[in-house]
Amino acid sequence: MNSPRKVMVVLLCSIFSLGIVSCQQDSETLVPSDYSQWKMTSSELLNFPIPGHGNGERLIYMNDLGISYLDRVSNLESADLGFPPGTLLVKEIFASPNPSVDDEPRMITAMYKDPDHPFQRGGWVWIIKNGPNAQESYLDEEFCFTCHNSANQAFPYGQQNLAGRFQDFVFYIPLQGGY
Amino acid sequence: MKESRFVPLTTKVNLLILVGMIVGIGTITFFLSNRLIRTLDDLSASDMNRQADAIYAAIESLMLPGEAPLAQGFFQRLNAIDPDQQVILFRTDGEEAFQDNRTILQVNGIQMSQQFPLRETMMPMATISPEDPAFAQALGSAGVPRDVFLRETQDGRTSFRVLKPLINLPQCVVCHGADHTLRGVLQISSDTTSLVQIQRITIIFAAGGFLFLVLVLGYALTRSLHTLVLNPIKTIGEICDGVSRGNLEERVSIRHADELGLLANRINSMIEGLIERFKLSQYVSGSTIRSLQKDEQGTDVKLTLFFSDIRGFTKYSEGTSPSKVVEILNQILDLQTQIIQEEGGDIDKYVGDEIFALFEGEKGPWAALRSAQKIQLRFRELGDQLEGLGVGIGLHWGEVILGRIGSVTRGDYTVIGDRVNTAARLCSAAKAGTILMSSEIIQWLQRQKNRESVPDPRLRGPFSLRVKGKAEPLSVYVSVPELKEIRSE
Ligand code: HEC
Repeated sequence: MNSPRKVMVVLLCSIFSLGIVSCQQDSETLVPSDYSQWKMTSSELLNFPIPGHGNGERLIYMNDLGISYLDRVSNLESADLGFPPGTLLVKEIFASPNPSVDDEPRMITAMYKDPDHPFQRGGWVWIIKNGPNAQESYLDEEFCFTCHNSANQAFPYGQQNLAGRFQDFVFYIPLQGGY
Repeated sequence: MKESRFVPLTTKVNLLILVGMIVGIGTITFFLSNRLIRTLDDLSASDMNRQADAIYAAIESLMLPGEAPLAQGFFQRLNAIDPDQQVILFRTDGEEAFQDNRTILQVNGIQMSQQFPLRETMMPMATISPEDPAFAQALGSAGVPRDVFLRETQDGRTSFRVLKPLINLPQCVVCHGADHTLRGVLQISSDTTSLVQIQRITIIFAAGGFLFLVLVLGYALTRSLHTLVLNPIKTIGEICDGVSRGNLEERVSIRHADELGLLANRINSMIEGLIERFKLSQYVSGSTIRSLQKDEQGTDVKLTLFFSDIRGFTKYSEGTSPSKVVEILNQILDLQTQIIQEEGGDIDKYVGDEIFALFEGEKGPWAALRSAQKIQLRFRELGDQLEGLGVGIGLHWGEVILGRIGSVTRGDYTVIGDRVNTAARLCSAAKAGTILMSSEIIQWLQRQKNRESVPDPRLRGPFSLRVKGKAEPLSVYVSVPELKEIRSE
């Protein structure tokens, strides 16, 4: 093989490997580790069976951006909602309906408000983690989005949204200040 | 460089056209038909997805108020509309929904009522294998339940298939319970065999059209190239061949207003130029032409110099009409020229009634002398026909300078030098009917005597001749040729 060809091969290889490297670098994390310090969105014990999240116990946290947004909403019981970009909801799902203090959650699902994100559906990035230390994956398919669209009409949990207001895909809206 | 094989222009051009068209039109056709097929596929795919979404929304709206029988009727209607399209709702275990009483019994059990009446007749039930990869994927085998879109070919038939998981929404939970995430999978399949056939026909038509186009365009292009380029080139080549064989009659007749037309005009004017040069060579001395061919500068050459001059011509022309003068002059010059050229002499120039000719080579003096004698005898023969006019001739031999004499724009190849002047003086000293020769030429003749046969020059001399511009008198000989002597030759 003569040298110009060699150079071409090397060049092509390096371009390809660069592409691969740049694709791998694209792993961001949206869920911080200290979310358990945040306010919770439900005072209820959530351990009744529920489609989509199983029948273990569930703990839902909302970051301060979301809580302070709700603080500012007048007439919180009936107003349409629109969480500000950056709002983060993290839901821990345990295997057991009555987990012990040492149990780790089986799964973590989260919603991050970012209408410009390439994977957003309905303005939210839908995040799933198979355990606290697992990698985040984003679901831009129908699954999470379709079911959570039911939060924008009457549904049979918590406050039930009987008025059918727009709740911005969130089922459990806490009272002002959170829990 | 290696001698490359001769390939006719026609072949090259035809090949070029054919390859160019096949590559050009072929690529376009290929991409267009490819694009078309892809667009058709994309269109039917997105169409099916939209239909699936619409049906999904319809099911949701019918099921939420508990109108399951309506949903079942809706499905039957859908399947009746288009036999090529089939809509089925499968339960998560792969059985077709709405066909038996299983779900009705479950719902009534959860509600603890008999809200939904049981079916009296069971319907034939379609099933899908839980191992069907698309079905499994829709149910969430790869993480989460998701929509699946497939394009399948089986037994020569092509179909699209969309599978959509039906989620157990919070609203569904009231009737169906909360112990499962999915209610089932909605499958819409559409037989697109006829569409594929249309695509195939499109491709065949495109390819056929392409081939036809290549042939027609190729033929047209070749034809026009022939008339525009190849035929004119051939004609020009033939004319050029003719010219090199000496045929100057033919002309290239191409009336194209393009480069070839210009080339034809140029070649025609070249031929005209050649003809002019041929004609011109009659007016130019042989040495001029030869020198032109060799592009000579001045050189020293040994030549025999011949001068002849009509005696008493000035006086004759005073009393005669100009046309007669020219006629007689031309007659005299012509008869002399003919004789000189017969003997191999070269007319250097005419100066009025005077001829200056040159004879080259060893035999030059003999040839010059023969010409002079023949001229004088001819004059005597013609006698009164030439109005009684006669010529005096001077011959000399020796070294002269041959070169192009004149200005940059106009010049002649001719000889100059002292000997040329001497020869001219000899001529003017010669009486009509006589030949005056220098001693140099006589010596030369004597040396060669045995080798050439000429009539006896009947030399008289030597005489001393005083000429203008020479301090010493010249030693000269006179010859007066007699009729009978020439005849006896
Ligand atoms: C079948 C319906 C359904 C599906 C599918 C579903 N969820 Fe939920 N989700 C719920 C319900 C109901 C709640 C209310 C809290 C509870 O009872 O667990 C909820 C709550 C949540 C919350 C807490 C915020 C809130 O709405 O109250 C997050 C975060 C969440 N889900 C994320 C996800 C993600 C991510 C997915 C997709 C992987 C997903 N969910 C799929 C029904 C669903």
